[in-house]
Amino acid sequence: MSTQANLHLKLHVWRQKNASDRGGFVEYDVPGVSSDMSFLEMFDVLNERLIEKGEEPVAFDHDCREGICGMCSMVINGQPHGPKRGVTTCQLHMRTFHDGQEIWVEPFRSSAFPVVKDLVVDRGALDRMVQAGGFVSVRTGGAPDANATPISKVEADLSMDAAACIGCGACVASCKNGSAALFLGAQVSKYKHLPQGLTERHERVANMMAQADLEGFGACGNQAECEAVCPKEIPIRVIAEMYREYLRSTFTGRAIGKQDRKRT
Amino acid sequence: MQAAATPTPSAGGHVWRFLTSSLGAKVTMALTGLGFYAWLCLHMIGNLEIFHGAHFFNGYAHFLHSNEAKPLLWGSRVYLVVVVGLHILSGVRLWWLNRQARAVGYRVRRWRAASLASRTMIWTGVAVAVFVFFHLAHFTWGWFGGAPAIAGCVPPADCKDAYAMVHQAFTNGWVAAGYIVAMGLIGFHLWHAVWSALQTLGLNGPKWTPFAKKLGLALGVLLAVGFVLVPVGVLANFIVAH
Ligand code: FES
Repeated sequence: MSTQANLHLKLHVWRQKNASDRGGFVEYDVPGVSSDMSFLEMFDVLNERLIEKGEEPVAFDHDCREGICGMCSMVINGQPHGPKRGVTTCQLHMRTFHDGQEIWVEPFRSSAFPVVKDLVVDRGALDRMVQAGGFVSVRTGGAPDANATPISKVEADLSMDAAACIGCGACVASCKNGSAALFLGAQVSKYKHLPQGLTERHERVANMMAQADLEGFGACGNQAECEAVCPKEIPIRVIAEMYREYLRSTFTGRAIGKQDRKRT
Repeated sequence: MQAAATPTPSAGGHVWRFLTSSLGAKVTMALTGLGFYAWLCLHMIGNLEIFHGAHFFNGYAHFLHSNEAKPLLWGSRVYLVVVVGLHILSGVRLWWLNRQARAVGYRVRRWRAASLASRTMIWTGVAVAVFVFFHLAHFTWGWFGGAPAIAGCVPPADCKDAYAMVHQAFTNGWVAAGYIVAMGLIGFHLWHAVWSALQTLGLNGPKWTPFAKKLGLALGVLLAVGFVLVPVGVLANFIVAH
């Protein structure tokens, strides 16, 4: 049984030659889109047609196309990753749309994510936040015994829920304030619940927060828009945990951040 | 040389770093907001004394301006200037930071979770600040006439008829309407503010957070209704001229 249908869509796609170009929307008439295609496959079809006509194809980020790499960043009709909850753009199927629908596609908007070209943005700011503290320093050696460090199921689950973050940046794109708090919270929370993460807990949160401010992300307004658009449905619980970690590290006087280290 | 091996951070160093971070501004917002709310509750309870009648209400007003109450009056003035001042400063700072964080906006925007109250905090905040200014000009500085004298009262006794001042003000429908709208805006602001402040202080949980959201709504409504009772009382002739 096939419920496959052909859609005729009207696309408004943000086109921008490079970072210094002003950019603008270009309208595309796209007939013959199968409802079984993913949103990215629809773009593949459009691009093939553009190439045949000798036009520049639309640049967009993608890699795994199975919802785990977090590359496919775009805002579809005002929502990062489109109108469906809990999926990335690559997993969004055209059956979500109806025949004749008008679709606006824009890049993730954040001052910390400069547009590289069309829908491609540079999300290096998130990587630099990870470099600032989103890691555990472990001396590698002989593999430790699997059960040597007991971790309760509850804690392990809380950590895993946060670790589901794929770093796509939809939280930033959706936030009215352009805040990366959900991403930062996920990094802090995934380590907070594991003994391996506790060694560096104080520096981690202070350094990552400092880096987030440096990159020009906004401040969280507790509007929970990020939670609603996150393809991995990471809860804002992790943001509250991050705040607790920062308050704790500040007021127990143990936040030995990078800047403090330099000073001594 | 040896000292350099062990970093010895000064407590001031990272408290300062915290306060100047965007999260520091958020925590300042949360604490000062809750502090202002607490004071407003006292103010509201004081206002409701008007339902006890002119004599009682004027006695209360005269007490607040008496010598014994001076430390209380000035203490609360200093408290308010600090709390509200910091709230406004951090609020404007965050608003500015957040504006910078998205230099280019979206053509299409569809909200899934962000409530209208949460998206308009800066504007309801500004509106309330403007209201507070007019409110002070109206009742504290007496720009529009101030309090009449109590009949038969002889100075040096405090002859200000606060009851009559309030009554006169709210017999004007426009003034009453202005106050009622302003209180609505404060309630609307609090709807998001209360639970947001608690979340910023790190309080979040599967049972707690839904409760905190309802608490915010309840506290917002409570405050707004409490304040609105006075102008409504005047318009409905519960509070009458004496
Ligand atoms: S392309 Fe990897 S998550 Fe979409």
